[in-house]
Amino acid sequence: MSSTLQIKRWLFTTNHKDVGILYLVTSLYFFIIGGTLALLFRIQLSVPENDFLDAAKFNQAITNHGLIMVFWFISPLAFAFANYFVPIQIGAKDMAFPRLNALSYWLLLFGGLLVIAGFFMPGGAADFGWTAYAPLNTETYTPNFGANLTAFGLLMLIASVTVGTVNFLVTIFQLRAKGYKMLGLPMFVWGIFFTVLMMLWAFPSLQAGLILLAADRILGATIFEAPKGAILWDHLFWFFGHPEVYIVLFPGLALALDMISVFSRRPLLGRKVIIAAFGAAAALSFGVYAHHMFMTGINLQYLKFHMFTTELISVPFGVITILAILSMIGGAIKLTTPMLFALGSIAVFIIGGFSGVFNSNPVLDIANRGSYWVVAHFHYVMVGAALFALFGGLYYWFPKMTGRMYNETLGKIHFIVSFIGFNLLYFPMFFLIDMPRRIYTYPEWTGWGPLNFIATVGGFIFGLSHLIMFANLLYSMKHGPRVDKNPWGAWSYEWVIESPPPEYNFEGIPVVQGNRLMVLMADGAKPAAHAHNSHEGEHLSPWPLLISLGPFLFLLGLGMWIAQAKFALPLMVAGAIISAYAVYGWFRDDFYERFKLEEPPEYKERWPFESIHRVKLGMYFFLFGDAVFFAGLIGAYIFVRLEAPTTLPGLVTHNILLGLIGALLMLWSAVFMYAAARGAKLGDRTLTLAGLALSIVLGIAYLVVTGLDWLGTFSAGFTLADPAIATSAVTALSHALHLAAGLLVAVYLLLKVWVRGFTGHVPDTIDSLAVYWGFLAAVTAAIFGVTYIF
Amino acid sequence: MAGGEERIDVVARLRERRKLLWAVASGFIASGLLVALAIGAVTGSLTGGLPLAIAVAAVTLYIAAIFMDIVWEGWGVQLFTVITVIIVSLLFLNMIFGRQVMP
Amino acid sequence: MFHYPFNPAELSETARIWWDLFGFYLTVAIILGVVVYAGLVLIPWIYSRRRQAVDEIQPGVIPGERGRMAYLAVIVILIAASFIAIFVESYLAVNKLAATLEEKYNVDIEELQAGEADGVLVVEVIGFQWGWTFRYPNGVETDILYLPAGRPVIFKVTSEDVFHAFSIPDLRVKVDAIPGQVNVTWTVPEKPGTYRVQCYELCGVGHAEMITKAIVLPPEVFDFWYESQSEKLESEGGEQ
Repeated sequence: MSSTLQIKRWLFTTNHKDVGILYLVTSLYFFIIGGTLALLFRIQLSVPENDFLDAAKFNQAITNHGLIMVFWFISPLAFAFANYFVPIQIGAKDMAFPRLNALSYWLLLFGGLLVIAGFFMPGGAADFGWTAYAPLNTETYTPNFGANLTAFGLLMLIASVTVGTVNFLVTIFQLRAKGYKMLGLPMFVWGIFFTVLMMLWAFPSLQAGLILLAADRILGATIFEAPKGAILWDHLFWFFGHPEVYIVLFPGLALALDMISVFSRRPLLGRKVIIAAFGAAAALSFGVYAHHMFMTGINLQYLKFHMFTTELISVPFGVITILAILSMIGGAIKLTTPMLFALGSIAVFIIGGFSGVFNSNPVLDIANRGSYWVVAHFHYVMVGAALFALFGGLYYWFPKMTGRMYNETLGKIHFIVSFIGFNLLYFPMFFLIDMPRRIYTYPEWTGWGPLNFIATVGGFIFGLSHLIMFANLLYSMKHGPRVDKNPWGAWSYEWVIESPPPEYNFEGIPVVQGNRLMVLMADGAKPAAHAHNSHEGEHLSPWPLLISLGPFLFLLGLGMWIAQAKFALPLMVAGAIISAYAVYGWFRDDFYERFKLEEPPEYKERWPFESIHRVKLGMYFFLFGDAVFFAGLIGAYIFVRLEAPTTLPGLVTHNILLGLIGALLMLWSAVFMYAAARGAKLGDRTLTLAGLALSIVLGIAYLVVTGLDWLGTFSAGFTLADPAIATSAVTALSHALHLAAGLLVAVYLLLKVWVRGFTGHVPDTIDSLAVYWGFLAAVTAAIFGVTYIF
Repeated sequence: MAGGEERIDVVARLRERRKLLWAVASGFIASGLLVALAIGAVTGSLTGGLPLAIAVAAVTLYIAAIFMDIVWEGWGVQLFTVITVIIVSLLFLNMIFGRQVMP
Repeated sequence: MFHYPFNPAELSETARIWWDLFGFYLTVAIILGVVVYAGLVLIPWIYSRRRQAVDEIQPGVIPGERGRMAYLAVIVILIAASFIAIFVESYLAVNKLAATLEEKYNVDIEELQAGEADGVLVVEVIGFQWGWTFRYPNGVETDILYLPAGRPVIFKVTSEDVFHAFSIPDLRVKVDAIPGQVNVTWTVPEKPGTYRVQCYELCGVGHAEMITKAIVLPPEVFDFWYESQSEKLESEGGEQ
């Protein structure tokens, strides 16, 4: 392939394996950035009263270390493997929505670049810690312009996560090879499955918090500066934040289980019990987060409940750990590099888990809260358990991805050095239980010097040990000995196919019969061509890249514009033009149905969603997450109204008649959209066109009426400085933007049906849009019921 | 074979028509509920507290169930809907109970 | 200047409750940890030395189910039992923390809230960027915390600006200082001495410097200090 074709391939690719490699490279790049930041502040902390970094630089370093490592390294590394291997492991030729998969990647990359760009803004990058506690995160206390970019970057990340989540759920549910039962899937797929489920319901809460924060920072609202705003942020952040810990942990832990099974040549003990334990932990993760708030003075009964659930969650994790260890009994264990990393992951996870139980209690939290004990604890879980397992995965799958073997001795050296470095780095922190987190320096008389020095030495050993891995893998990529397709004797689907896997994974149709994973040839020895009309370049699309680049430039420009920097407006204009052009391009491709990559549904196992179209299923999952987003916003309004007696009920601040008219307009807009969908299903073009047109008109009317109502509210003297007005305004605005996006799609579908009739997926797309409209109508009813009346 | 497909087609068409009728009827029912909600609020019989919460949740869920097609889907979608409702309720309960003063 | 005594549990009433519970957790963790780590180290060590007759992982074959229900149930029950033990102990400790003030020191919580309790020192703690103000009932404000040994102290903690966390780690006192709300916590310091007071939540560039001292005085010395401060305040008030 020529170099221009290569560049085009990597920029425009939608192939899940290419996207997986992009994720991998990007996550390792962010690992180096986050790791460098960590080493910088470890130098600062190595001796008392050091002046290597000043407080401002130190705070920026720890904040961005946390953000980058959690959001742009560990999770993306897990999703690099998920992108590459989940479709193969379930027996699919690609993800359910290949272009959305590429979009996930580009949104993630540009979001991360926005956060890093914060370092170059006046005042520097965000410095309020990755938890961004209110009201320190507001403009009053953190005027750094980089903080705005951090909020924007996180919002782009959430967009990436949302798209990716929907994609993985539909893929795992609907693209399994025919006959492949859910329970037979490798643990890694199960880990990713529960991970994306938690992502689906957890991230929207952070999204709600960030949008409210953006209103504070940019529109002059005072939601988090108002009394009790701190607690509101805590709720929105930790509702997301606790599941996030398991989001980071699950893929690695599940992968460690797979590796333990393969290298001890034994099936896992109690597979179903382990899967159930993962499910229980995922479910419980939404009901434990108040243990992050034990010291905030919220009422004791509520805290006791969360203490109970937090301690309860140790049961499923205990079960997983014990069963993983017992699984090895009677095996013939091969202590290869991946196996060592898997065992190392379990070993540090045990310490991380035990120390976590210590944090489950409001009494012990008197010492633990905000101390280095907590730092040690969550690094044992998030770095130890997750990172060791995922680096093990890198060695495990390296021969599959490259067709060559790494150097085993160097791999083992890497494990031993990094394991020693890791424990040297974090174990002393348990003894620093009196030392507060995030202080940039400490006086000598505290006696914390020696332990910190050991930790810093450990940090350098741990950090630099990864150079061994990079050297090993980079060298072996070109010069390692070639290996056959299954060097480990593993069982799952990726080991059935060639190394590296062919473009569409299976040169035939993957089918599972009983417990056998097979690839059937369609006619004789020839690869099945009908699954894809795969002529060169058809799966390339420039739009995922451009549709992410546009918002990136726009938000970068906006951040610079707020900081009154030069070239801000041209950037914003360019960003807006690129975004608009990319959306137009995507629509145009779909209008002429240029992008076709789909496996015939009859070759696929789709339980329990046999009869539902993938677009509609994707829409459902998106809306299930979106429901939490609106719940977060409406919940914030309820919280503000309960906590601030000075705020006025919606009955006073709004015109209730306009509100009612708006709700009715939106409702009937949904009725007509529903009718349009029925017309599409019945093949009745007139009904569809009329339904779409009426729905669009009523939707626009709703926007006008709501706008009039808000004009009335503002002209009556209510401003965003009132937190109740601000939260409800942000809710209404978010809803309006949802509707505006929907109207764009509705107009597109109207044109397509008008010009081209019911071709391709049009009926199912309209059906999905009707579901979306129904959701918007339901949200309108909730907004009307809560913010206009309560 | 062809006859079977035709019969399925007829069943599917009947289903779509029934869904449409339900939707139009539900449009009127939900409109009535929204008007009742507004009247209840203006007359003061629904201001704040549990009755309002239940009324709003009921109207919202009714509209969602009908117009998001959830009532017509298989158990998979319905299960995920129930989980979503539980998680949304959890978020609300945390916001209400996770404060200094018990309500 | 900052002495660290032999037994940290004897520094205050709350420290005692904390160390008791910590000791329990640590014991459970060590017992379970030894068992689990023994398995994690011994099993790979033993079974990496032998070759298995029948390889149960076959390429392209989904591995079979292993583990009898009874066996698995026993494992789950054992883990659940340790969870219940930990939960019960935690629950009792939380209640003990709440009840000790009432039972051991006869402090009536209702009277306290009305501001009438005898023998209890109520100190208002106000965090700001970056320091602490301690306000005593007589109106004296200090930036060093003076406490009497052997007498219950109630802290009413709030913040002027951002989220701080007030803590005297050696005495096992900690509560968040949040703008717009007052959080209450307590302790009974037992040993005279000087202790570190520090902020435990990132609150801006001065976070590390938000550190001061708590000086626990023998009761009669504290009373002397308190009276002299009252007089000083009065005389200052008189001059104005």
